Amino acid sequence: MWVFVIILFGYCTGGWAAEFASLNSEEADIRDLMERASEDQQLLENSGILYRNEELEPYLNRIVARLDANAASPDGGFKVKMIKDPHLNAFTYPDGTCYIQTGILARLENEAQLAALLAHELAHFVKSHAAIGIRRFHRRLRSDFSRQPLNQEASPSRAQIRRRIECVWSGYHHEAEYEADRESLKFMIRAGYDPYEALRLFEHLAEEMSRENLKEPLISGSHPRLQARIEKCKEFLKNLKPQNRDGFNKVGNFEEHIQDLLLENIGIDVQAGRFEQALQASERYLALRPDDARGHYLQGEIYRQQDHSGTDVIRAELCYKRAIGLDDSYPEPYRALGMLYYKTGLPQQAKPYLEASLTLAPDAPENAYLRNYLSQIRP
Amino acid sequence: MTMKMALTILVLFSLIGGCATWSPVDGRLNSEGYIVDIPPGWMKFDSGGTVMISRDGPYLQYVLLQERPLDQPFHHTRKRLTAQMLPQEAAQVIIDDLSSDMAVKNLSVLENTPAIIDGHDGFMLHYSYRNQQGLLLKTAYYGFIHDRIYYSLRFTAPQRHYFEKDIRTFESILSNFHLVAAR
Repeated sequence: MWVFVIILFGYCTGGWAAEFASLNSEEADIRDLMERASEDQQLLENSGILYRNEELEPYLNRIVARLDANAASPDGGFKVKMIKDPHLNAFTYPDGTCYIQTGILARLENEAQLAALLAHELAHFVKSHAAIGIRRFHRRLRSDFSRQPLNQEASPSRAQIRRRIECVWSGYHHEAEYEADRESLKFMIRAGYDPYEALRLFEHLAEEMSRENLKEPLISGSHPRLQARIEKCKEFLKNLKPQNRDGFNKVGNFEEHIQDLLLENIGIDVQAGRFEQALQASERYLALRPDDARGHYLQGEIYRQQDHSGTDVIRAELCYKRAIGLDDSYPEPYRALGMLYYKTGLPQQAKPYLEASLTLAPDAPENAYLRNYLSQIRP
Repeated sequence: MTMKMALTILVLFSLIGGCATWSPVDGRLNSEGYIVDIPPGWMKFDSGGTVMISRDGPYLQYVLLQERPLDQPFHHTRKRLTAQMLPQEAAQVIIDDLSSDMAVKNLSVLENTPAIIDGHDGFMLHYSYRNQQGLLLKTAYYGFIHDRIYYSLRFTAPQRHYFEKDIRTFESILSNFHLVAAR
């Protein structure tokens, strides 16, 4: 058995030595970082989780160009994509590809807040924080190794090294975050956006933290505390002295562009069971598009599924009926209403809605259930 | 941690600790709530409410049997199963949990129908997805609620070759699944 253990040990340490040799070069680390970023992005591209919106994506990239035309030029390399994820987050790969989650976009109220978010990510890219982070880590690693032989417990494992490399783009160092906050305010002022709206962005994060009982809103633990960032931003704003807030652009045509995304994210929130967020967003969506059948249907789904009280079922019923009233060829509210009546012991009321749903969507994946219900309802 | 590293550690633990986590199934699997007959040659990995069985290793095929109290939360959706739910609603909670899992890529629900499992009204899902490594997997999933417990049986294998190879075996396992009368 010991021979086997020794062979395994040799295998492990051999691999470790090889990895250490490769880590000895900063350039190799940066190459590694870029390669892994490219692999990650390839996975994202093929994962089905990217949110594609032919109007919104160019709109986001136009705002980036307004913030910094050089960075957003084809050669500059900064480009924005969206991920279907209800959580409030955004991140940028070292090659300048920025991914923004639908959750945070759905929470923003105007173009200036969107500009604050994009400017922050852009600043990370322009200031090469990923490359600086990897160099800083590399120097620290080399200094640690010069003090400690490889076989001591304090030597980092390969997994730890890998994790630290990952941290370079998953969460920048505190100073890098502050620098990105400061630079983003400058970008905003130069582009004519109200920089005070950046503080509102932090408020959205704080609200989410409180609602979700989170310590910090972002996945990475290396982000500085939110309150500290807010204080720093206020300090930066005091020093930057932006004049005449009324002259700044806040709204733009943001709400026009964001409506489809709002609806998409309501659906994602419903799937995740985030009913409070979904309901808040559905109120906002229906204020923008009061005659949208899908919006009313989704609001009905929120009420039916959260089912806090008996009145939720009544609200759900009203929402489904409103959706049918707005678009009588839309099958989902018929199905939902049929199920609702069937489940609450009103089969005769359920019947016409279940039948209508089958007629309108003869190939819907759940039709076998509906046929089953109908077979149990007496004519 | 890389797969190679994980396997190395697993082998070392097994050698030094002398405790094997996978063990052969001797014909019948007895849990607190159910019994099920397993064909010869399959191994089991038991972790309380969840039992995984496989013949060639979980990367090639596995069957997962779960019994969970209704109030046990899911990992990715906050929705809960309730005793009053229709099988269709329970199926939707399972789909929503999968859809909210960022590790499950390209989820596609191929079939969602009512099913009877051991005489209980339940549902059957067929879905495909890609795992973190990009491998296309297919799952046949059966679930039902009985007496405030949610039972599920699922068979997962790479879509290419392995799913078709063992789906009949899974169906035979499913037909031999019975709740223990005491429940």
